[in-house]
Amino acid sequence: MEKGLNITTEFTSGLQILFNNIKKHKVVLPETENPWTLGMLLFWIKDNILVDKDKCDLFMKGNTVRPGIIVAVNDQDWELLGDLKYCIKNNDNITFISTLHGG
Amino acid sequence: MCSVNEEGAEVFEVLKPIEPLELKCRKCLIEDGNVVLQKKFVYCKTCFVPMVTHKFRATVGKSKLVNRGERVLVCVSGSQSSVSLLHMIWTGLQQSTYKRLTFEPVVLYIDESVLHDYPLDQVKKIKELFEKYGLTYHIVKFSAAVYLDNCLNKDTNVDQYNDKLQNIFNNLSDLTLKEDMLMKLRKRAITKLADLLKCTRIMTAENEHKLSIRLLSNVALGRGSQISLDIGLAVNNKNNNNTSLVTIRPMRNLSAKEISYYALFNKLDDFMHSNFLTATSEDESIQKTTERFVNDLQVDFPSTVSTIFRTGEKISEKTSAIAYCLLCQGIMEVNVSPSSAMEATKYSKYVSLMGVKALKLSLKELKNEETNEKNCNGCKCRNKQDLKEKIIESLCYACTHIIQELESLDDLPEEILNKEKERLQFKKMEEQIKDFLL
Repeated sequence: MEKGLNITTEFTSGLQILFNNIKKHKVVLPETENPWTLGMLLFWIKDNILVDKDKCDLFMKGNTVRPGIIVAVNDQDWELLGDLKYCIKNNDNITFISTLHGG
Repeated sequence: MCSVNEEGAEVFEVLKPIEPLELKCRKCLIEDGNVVLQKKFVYCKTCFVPMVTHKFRATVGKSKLVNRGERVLVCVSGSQSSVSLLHMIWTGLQQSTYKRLTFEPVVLYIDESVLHDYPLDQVKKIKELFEKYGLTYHIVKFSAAVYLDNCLNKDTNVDQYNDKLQNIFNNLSDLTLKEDMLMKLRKRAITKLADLLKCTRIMTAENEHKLSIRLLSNVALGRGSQISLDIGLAVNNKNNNNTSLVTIRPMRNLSAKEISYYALFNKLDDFMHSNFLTATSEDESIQKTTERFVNDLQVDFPSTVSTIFRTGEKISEKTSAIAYCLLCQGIMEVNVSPSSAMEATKYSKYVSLMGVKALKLSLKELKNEETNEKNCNGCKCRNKQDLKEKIIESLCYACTHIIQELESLDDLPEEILNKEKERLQFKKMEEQIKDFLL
């Protein structure tokens, strides 16, 4: 497996309050044995960027995002890319948009 | 989901196992898709944006409510929806002549930083955004909008009103009521500002999603009779004045997802816009519970929201309304039949309070009984209690709950109190001249 992946994650429409009020996070994903998938990324975000761990359930539910949160990879709907199974590539821009009432 | 087949039996249609989605845009069939709507319709970026804009234009156009050159108050809260609304209007104004929007938008931002912690530079950023669009805009502090008549004057000191406002919300311990009150005060403020700015139309940016959640929670809150006022496209705010204000919700045919992608594709930045429910647990308020209910359903049944919404649309308001609630300006149920839900709730509350005694007294005596209990005879608080009780008479069912939680009425906008006093005067006068009337 190649070295770490450079990606940008973006949290908008209220989600940023869970992430220190910063919308854009440039992150480097460490090397792993298996290729990075969106499903893995979610847990990684939870463990690494999420500030308030108590409020984790505002972001995730089970092993996926909470209903009402939209995920887009490079402006493309993740539903088109195989949801959680999508393999993240270098320089991907992953956007999380909340459509929920007041975040 | 359910369908009736030829034999007339109901069959539950099995959701097909995830079939591979078409990867091409269903409209142009050339480009690769970017967005999936309702789990089956794939659009590419280039086809998606015009589609959304078209829906918006159709909603505005269909209503035929905005005339050429009319001043329209565009309420922008900073949320993604409202930022998108602003962008759509602005784009509409740049179009070539035959497609151009012809009304005159006045943008309004109500600064609610008194109640929520916003980043300090939020107002500045909003200002920059408005400047960029080059439309007429006003930024008003929430407390000023609620309490003051000349709230457009920026120099007025609003500190004391800030306290009043915070007082109201601190008094309300229940999140459901807090949020409800906020919505009502916001609406009041917007109506008032529209008047001051000489706007005859108001545009707000609620989307289909938000409106269906509001619809269901309104029913749960006991605001069933006001549904059409709260979610309809055009609402006549003809509250006994001769001004007729119409609220238009041009985004009501757009789903939350459509708006999110519209904002994403147009690189629109949204701002923090919290309310009391932000980051609270889902079980703490009716609104939030409803939201979860709708969202969870929506995951498996993508037409949930539109079904709720279309059903809600069919509910129309009573035309023969005579009384309006003092606080929310919604229609009030007056002279309800004794078998109504409202009376039943009252009675059940009464029985649970009084126990066996309830059998002896009839419901009519309930009121007297209550008054007697509440008045601590002779002491000073009596007057206040009196006013509270009187004011409750002119409130709708849901608003009485809010007022009952408030400790004192002093923090309410004066306007409301004055109106109530006026009403009482009228009543008194009517009483006095009753005998002379033919």
